[in-house]
Amino acid sequence: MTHQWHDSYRHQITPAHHLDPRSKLFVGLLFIAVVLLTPRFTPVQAAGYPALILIAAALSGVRLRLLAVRFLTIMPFALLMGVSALFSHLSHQEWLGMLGKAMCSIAAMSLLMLTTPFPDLLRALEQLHLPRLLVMFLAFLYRYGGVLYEDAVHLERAWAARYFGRFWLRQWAHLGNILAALFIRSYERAERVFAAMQARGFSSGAAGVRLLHFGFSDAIFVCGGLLLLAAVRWGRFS
Amino acid sequence: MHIPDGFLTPRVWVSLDVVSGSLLALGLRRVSAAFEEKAIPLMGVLAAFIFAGQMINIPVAGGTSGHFLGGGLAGALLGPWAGLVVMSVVLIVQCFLFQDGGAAALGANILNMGVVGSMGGSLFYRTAMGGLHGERRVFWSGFLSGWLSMVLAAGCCAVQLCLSQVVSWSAGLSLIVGIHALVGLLEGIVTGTVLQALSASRPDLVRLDQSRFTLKDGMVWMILLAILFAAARFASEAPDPVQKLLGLK
Repeated sequence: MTHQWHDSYRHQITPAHHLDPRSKLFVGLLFIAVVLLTPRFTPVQAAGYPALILIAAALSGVRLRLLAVRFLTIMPFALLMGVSALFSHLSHQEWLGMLGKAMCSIAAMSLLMLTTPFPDLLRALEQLHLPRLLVMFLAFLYRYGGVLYEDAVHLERAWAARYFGRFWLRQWAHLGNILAALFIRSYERAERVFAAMQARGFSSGAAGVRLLHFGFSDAIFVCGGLLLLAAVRWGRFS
Repeated sequence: MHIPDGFLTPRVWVSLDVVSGSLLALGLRRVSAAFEEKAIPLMGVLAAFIFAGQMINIPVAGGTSGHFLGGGLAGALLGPWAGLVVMSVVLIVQCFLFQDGGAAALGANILNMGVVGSMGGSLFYRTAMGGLHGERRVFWSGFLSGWLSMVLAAGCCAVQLCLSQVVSWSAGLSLIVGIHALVGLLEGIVTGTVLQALSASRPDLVRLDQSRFTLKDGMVWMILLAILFAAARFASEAPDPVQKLLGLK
């Protein structure tokens, strides 16, 4: 199964793709935390945080257009804030600051996931001692989410072909029937999957062939990332 | 309803991350103790089902479309703890893979859609099933579970945004809760229809719930919520939000 949304850059060969997922996860989440904990952006921070994103995007070979598309996910909240600002004390600067923080966070997460295959991320989470049960559920969801999605699309297409032009409230009722069919298919598939897994000697945990190794390049990435981040956050530039 | 990063103040998102993380850890313990080994892959695939179900978009009005959320259904089918775990897994994958909901706001989203949506959904479904009679009681119980869980989750989301002072209490509550009270009708119809169809064709699947909500769990939940609201009280130095909402200050 190909997850087109994030797998398009998975097989590229760039410095970012070779890094240990743990180091990318650490630096990425730290970047998000530092940005969110910045009370109000100074001009240096307002230019510095996006500059760090641009550097990371250049190292990852990710096109900026792809990052821009992902900013659409915050549009409903941005619009809500815009409407609500008419009734509250939220200033334009504060509103723009919130949007800026949201964009930095989305860009950082996007870059992390575009350069890290999800199975590698699961292995990293497992090595970071996240509960094994949680990691296993995540692995199942990643593996079967796409398969079930394809089932769902087939059901949706068949249903749309029979149902054009009808009253939309009734469409929602029929969505229930579609989902019930999908649920039963999923359940029966899960039973077969589990039997196959047991036959192959299933043991809980994230499956993957890549062994994680924290090397010299990771040390440089983490130290460099921390230094740049600290410089933007706390540096005094005249 | 997926809150992105940047819209909640640090005090709000940090306290919600702690509360949701604790509840999720408790849920994982309960699930691993209550469920057999065979049920674990089943739950993983059921999480994938909720995930896939959310991908089907249905036209609403004026060129917009909506999709099924699944918190009430997960709670009704799997019970409170397993429902919480399944919804949390879905939210984590949505956050990481699709950036739908922020990484720092993950605790807030899990609280809204996992704890309130799914655990609340389970509670409403059980209560309605106990109180209603007749052939359509599964549908109406599912409808109430879906609608109430969505409205309460939206209310929780609105309170978090209001505590962060990014929306005013009147606008936040009326806009967010009002919109979701309408959209929740569709969620209720879908939840009720799924449960009705399942109970007709595979009644064994409607009895998957093995993780009961005990008095001890209720106590833990109440204590955590008390901590949450105590922490939220310090989220700003502005007058008490409830007093402000009621126009007392």
